[in-house]
Amino acid sequence: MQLLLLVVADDSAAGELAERFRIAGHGVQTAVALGQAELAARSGRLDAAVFDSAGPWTVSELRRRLPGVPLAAWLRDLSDEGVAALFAAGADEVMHPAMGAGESAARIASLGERAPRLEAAAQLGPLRVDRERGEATWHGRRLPLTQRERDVLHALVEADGATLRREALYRRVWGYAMARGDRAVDVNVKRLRGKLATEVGAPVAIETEPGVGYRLVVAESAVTAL
Amino acid sequence: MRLALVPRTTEFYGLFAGLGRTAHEAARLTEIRFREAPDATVEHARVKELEREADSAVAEIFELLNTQYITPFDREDISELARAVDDVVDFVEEASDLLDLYRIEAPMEQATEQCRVLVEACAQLERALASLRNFRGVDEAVLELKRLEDEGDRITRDAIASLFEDEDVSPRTMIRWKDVFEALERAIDACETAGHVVGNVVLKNA
Repeated sequence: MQLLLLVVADDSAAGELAERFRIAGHGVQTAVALGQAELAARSGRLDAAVFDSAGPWTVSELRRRLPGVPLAAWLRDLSDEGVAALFAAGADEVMHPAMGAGESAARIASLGERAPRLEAAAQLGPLRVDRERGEATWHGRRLPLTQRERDVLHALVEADGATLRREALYRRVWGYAMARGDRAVDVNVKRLRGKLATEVGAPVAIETEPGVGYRLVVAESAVTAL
Repeated sequence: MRLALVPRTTEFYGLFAGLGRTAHEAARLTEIRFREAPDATVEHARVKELEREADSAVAEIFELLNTQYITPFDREDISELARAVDDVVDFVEEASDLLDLYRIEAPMEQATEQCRVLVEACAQLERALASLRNFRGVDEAVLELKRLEDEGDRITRDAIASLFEDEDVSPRTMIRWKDVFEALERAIDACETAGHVVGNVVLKNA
């Protein structure tokens, strides 16, 4: 089974590790920073991430940034304590260079099967945002949104009516922490509101929770009319 | 080049007052650009136009300086002041340009605050330059420029700190905004420098 793997490692180790999995027939992306890894995971198509445990990565940080992606640690200096510590920290699998190609392939395949597929598309009533196809639709009619606006809407739709904090929304869409004072979320929500008002009208609204963030409200009548 | 013996001192006053207005207008338009980014109703071309106007005014001042036998105050002070105000407009224009150059996606609150201080500082500078003939109100304007420069420093420090509070802020955001914060600070500092030159003129001539 061919999987799409993300190798998270320093520059020096990423190439070698990626090559190992490419030879085994998997698709491989690499990330040399946590922010890059998070951006790659946002595609929702990763089957697993393999991180070089000698790098500055912490399992808990990867867990937080790559939700739903199975994590395998690549342990270069194999030790009983090292393996135990990685599992204790939350790794789903621990692999090492001494593993044969067959075992390596079997472990990766098993890891891939554990991946709960992240949905590339999110839907709330007749409002659907499909990031893979790059479109947002209302009752099947395409809405003229920019990619950024679509990503913001996707995050709000996924939140299913719950309020998303500005900082969380920023991290979901931009893949980085929001700097204090950055108005990027507000600007994009404002534009999105304008377009939704023109294209959809009253049934959809983005409500502001002052000092907190935004939530998407789709009128009950629009949802039940489906 | 012939030196004119009939003094045309009022022209100096008019040119400096005009320079003050240009600097204030450039700052005002730049503040709008920052506040309304990325859909600003003011294009950078308008700020650039003001920068060219300031360059022309400075050139006129130097031409007048080279052709006039009698000047309203020391030649060195006139040239220093013209250059100082020209720097203000240049730095304002540079900050405004960065909005487009760096494809700024949205404003930062701290930059909007810096722009507010910059507009106030340019208003004070305009006031001081318009009063060179009689020096009325110049001292207050110079003092206010010093206060605004301090306020600008405080905002800039806080703005730069905000980029480093979380180690996971995007490097692009950090590079873009650090440059913008520093450009705006240079413009505010330049107002205070110009105010300092005006203060010296007052001391020598009042």
